[in-house]
Amino acid sequence: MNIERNDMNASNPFVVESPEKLAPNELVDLFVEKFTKIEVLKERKHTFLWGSRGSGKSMMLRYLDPQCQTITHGSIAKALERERFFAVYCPCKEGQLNKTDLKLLSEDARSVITEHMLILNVLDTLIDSMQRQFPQYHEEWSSFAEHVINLFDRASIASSKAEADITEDLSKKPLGWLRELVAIENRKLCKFLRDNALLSGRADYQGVTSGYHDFLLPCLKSLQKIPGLSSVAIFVLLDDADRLSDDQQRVLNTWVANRDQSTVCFKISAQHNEYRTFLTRGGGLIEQPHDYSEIDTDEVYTRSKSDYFNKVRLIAERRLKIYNVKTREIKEFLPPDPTEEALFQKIRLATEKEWEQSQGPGRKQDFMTRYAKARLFQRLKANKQRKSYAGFENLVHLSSGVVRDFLEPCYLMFDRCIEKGKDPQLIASIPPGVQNEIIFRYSEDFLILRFKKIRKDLPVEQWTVVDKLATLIESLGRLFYERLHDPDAREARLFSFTVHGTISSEIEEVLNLGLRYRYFQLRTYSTKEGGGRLKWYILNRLLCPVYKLDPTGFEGRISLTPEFLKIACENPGRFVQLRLKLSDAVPKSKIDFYLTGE
Amino acid sequence: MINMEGSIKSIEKLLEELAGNDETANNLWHQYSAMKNYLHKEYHPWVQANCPYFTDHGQPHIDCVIQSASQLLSKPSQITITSLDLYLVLCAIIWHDVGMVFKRSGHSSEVKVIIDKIKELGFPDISVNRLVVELVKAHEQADGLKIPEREQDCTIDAKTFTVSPRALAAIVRFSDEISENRSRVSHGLLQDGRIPKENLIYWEYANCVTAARVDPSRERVIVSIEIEVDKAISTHSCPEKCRPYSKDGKSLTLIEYLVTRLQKMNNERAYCGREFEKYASIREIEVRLRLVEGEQRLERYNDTFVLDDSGIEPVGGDTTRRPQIEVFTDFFSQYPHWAPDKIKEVKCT
Amino acid sequence: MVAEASLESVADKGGLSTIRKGISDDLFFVCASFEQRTTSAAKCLAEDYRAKKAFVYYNEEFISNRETARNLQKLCTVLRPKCDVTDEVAGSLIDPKKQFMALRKAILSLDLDSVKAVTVDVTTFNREALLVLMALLRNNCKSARIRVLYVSPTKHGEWLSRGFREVRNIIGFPGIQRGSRSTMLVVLSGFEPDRIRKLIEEHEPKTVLLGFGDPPTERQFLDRNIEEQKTVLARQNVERFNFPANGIEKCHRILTELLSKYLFEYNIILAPMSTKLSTLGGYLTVEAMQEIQMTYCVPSQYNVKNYSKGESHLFMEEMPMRPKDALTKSRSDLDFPTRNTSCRSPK
Repeated sequence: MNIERNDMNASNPFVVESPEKLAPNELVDLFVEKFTKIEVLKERKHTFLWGSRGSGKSMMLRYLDPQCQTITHGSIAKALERERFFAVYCPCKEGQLNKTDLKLLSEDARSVITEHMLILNVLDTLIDSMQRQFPQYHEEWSSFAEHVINLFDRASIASSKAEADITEDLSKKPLGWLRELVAIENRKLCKFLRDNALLSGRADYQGVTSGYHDFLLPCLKSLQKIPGLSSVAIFVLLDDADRLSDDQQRVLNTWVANRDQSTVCFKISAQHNEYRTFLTRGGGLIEQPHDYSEIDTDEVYTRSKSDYFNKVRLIAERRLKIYNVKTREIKEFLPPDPTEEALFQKIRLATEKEWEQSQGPGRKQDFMTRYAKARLFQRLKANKQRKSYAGFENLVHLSSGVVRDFLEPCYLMFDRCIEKGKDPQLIASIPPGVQNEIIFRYSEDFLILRFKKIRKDLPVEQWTVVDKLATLIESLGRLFYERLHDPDAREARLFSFTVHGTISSEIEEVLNLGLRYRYFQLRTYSTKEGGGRLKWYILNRLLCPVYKLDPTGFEGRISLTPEFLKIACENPGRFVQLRLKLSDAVPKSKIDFYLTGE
Repeated sequence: MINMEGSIKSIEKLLEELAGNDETANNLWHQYSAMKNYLHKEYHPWVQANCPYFTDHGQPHIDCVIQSASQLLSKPSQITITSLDLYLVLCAIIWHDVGMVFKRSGHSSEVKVIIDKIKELGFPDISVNRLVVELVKAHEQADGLKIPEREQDCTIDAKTFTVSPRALAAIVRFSDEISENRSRVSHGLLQDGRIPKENLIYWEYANCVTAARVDPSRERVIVSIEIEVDKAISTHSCPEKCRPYSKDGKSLTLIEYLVTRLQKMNNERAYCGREFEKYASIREIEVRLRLVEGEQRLERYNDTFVLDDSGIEPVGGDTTRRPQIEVFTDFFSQYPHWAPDKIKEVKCT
Repeated sequence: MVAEASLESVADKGGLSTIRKGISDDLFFVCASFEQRTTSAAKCLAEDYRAKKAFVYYNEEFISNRETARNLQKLCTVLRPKCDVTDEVAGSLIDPKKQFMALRKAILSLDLDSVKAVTVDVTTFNREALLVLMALLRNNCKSARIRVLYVSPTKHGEWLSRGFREVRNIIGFPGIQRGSRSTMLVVLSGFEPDRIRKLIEEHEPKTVLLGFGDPPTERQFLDRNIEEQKTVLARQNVERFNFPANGIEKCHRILTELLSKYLFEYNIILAPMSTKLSTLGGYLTVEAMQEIQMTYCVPSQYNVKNYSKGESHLFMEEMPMRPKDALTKSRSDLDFPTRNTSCRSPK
């Protein structure tokens, strides 16, 4: 690992770069293996990797790339020996595979062309990778090239072979020749799409076609004859597969439905709810865990002991080291507000004493968890003091399981310090004041600016849904604020809700929009009454500063009927009023109760 | 599909008849005919020019495969055969060896013209072309039948057909397997001894097979083989796949090679048969094996035996995998007089 | 070569005549939209201008807008006496297949071999439809001369479009991408930084080349262009270049020179978001280098009330013939009143 880059004198240690732009050594430096579930990804199984943008999916996939693995293990031979896989990174970029021209083809033709296009894409990247990693094997590559040629329909590939012979010599540079062949076939495919659109009369497809069984699988199997690759599985990494069209996703699913994991494993990353189908081309369904395993990079719980907390800590401290920052411990670099900390300790002691005096209710730890933090908020409100969200722990909680939402505010904080005149080389910590300034603005932007951006992303006719979502969040934010700052509230730290009853499609649209843009996270839980699971919506903690809520944990969830939800989407004031009134009237046992524990 | 005289109607004839009643069938028939005529005129000369010592891949062989396929499809047990089914099988048959011409380099630019023309004539739609290619590839690869889907919908002229590509591929594959016979070789060249060593064993084998006929009413294929005494014990260099059956790992007599080919044929029957069951049921291969010396048939060497599914086959295994029904060892233990040493003795007496 | 003149001077000289003296044009194509200048070029046609066929294209999403409906009617009224047949072509901004098929149907309804002279008023076409139209014309009427007319406004509105529905490649311009290559996004920028940001977000290019139209069609447009794109330029991986926004062939030459360097290194995606003339310049580049994909960001909302004001200059340029089909033509065939190209209409 390259550490302590001394040339990074003006660089911000929290800069967020797209993994695509990082060189392999930079990526390896920044990536933290621990607490990322990377071991699950390395298993010989087809895997779906879910997560929002910025949650680290692409980093994980790119880390598996042979160039990165070579750096990590010292050599490609060692990497293969230890890891037993060779990865081929295939990003599904906008316009690369999901071409609009495909819409003009018949369903059958589209299916054939689409699968062939995916295969060519994989093959091109595979050959490129092989050229880089194994330039020394000549005879083996010649056999491989011959084998691949023979997998194509001999008649249809003939003209491309002749064309490839003009620019490359198969006997001298077999992989170069093969790459040229793939490029020629790719050109034919694209030409066909173009001609089919633009020319009068029928467009003839001049190229070959290929499928999983007749081409992709035997091709990848034959790689196992290359020295060092025997019994090594090929991992095909498809990044951002939600960009693919429905037809293309069905092709992928059909591939996943095959159990040839000793030869090939598909690792597919996508955003939640954006991967639209799990059907195969034959109308079957792929299911977890029979056909694939799953990893979810979005984390709901951000407690100190949790994997996510530790992951962020390691990532942050790695960056401090690489960028040669004076302070190496992130907790020290991002200190909390000392005054507030002292106040909180006082309140904790008082709460502890209270429990000891009455020896209840419940366990001491639960009592303190429930009341100490809430009382801090209530005290600050009484003192007309603004809550501080400074401190590493708070910032991790606020990021709500997305690493980028930790790094980006830190980046802005560091920049702010420089703007204030500090020498970047000498910054040893970010003052709580700066942390608060930035995080409050970040939280506001998440609420206000982000909605502007959402409107831009959506057609005009959907703007009412956006408005309803904004109103719903306002309603919930206000309600949770009232509860938290009410000294008489037993369950003060509410942060989530469930819906009892059937909601209208209109409300469903609002909730789905909230999920899509990560204002909520969705989980399910089984009811106490038994029989089935209910949907449980958890607010994004990034909203805490704007609504003065506690990001460090939550308890309880309010149950909303569809009618209440409708009111929440229309009138925050009325919603809060009714809901608070209801809470007083409803017996305590009826309010759902769930302790997170700390 | 059995005509008035009791002989089996060719699937080409059948498609032509369907063409008279239906526009889609008519289009398919014309596309097929154009493709076939073009191949006959433009392609076959190149095969001979480029592959002079391969067994025949020209019109006679194609006709033979079509005949075998016609026999297999003459009494479909579970399903009605559509014009598209016939079209796919016929196209796969005439297309399947087109790539053979590229075994040798040179003239590829001319052949490119042929391929492009064939596609233009015969395959107006990529998905249909893809189906034919899958049928062809299924016949080439060892476990090739897993390539095509079991069932697939295909739209032509706004009509949707449900086809069984895997079953059709099995028909083509098995038809090709049983169409290896003496019509594929040149007797003149064989007699003149001008066939290169590496090709000779294939020529001699083909030359032994006098006929292979599908008998759908009795769910069998009848293979008639006549082998010259001298030829039976002639030694050839052993093809790669037959090495396990060679005593010294390098060479094999013709009789031994013949038995490995019968073993293969039977495995193909089992492999393809389970897929094309909806069209035909072929439970065994009846082999009529004779040894001849000149014009005379040797009485002791006139055996008829049946190859079928006996042998160990794992239950619940992968049905797309090729079976491995052993015949070689059993044959020589049940028919020891067919062993090369024994035949040599006959020659000497 | 582009010819430019004020609309007044064109009118003074008797208006626009046919491409070939005394012979009807085979086709006149125009788009009806909500802008005032949508009818400007048609109204400038000479008294004796004739065409065999006229197509008036419109996007169905705008037909309920009063101005669009009115302009559609005006155009038909102006063209009917001058054209043997005048037809409407209903396309769609949102549905790319519908847009494409409508234009395709219109073009393929012609007797393609006999189409030799086509005049296209590109002024108010949305860029996607314009590029599709040009591709269909040049691929099917290979020996046709295509004359392009464009009317610049005196002023653009405060905002032109907002939001985005979709980012997609334009049908007919799929490009040729390779999985092992990174993406380079080339933007001919205009006044809409949000759409450019969206394109960058969706395509995730490794490199962005941001082009500024210099010389512009009107001087003040360049200043605004630079101002609007400041936030995009501030990004680390964005490089700047200039391209002529006031001429098709000029723009094509500059783009070809620039992009040929990167053609085999990147998957190149071109986003023309500047003038229609430069958009067609981009078209010519992509016609020659089919590896390049053309992309389009469909906006959510247009400023239909105040997109542009006025009509300033009329630009006229003939598309160069496709290399194989080059026919000789003389400069005098371009019958256009260009006595004084520096003449500008008063502000």
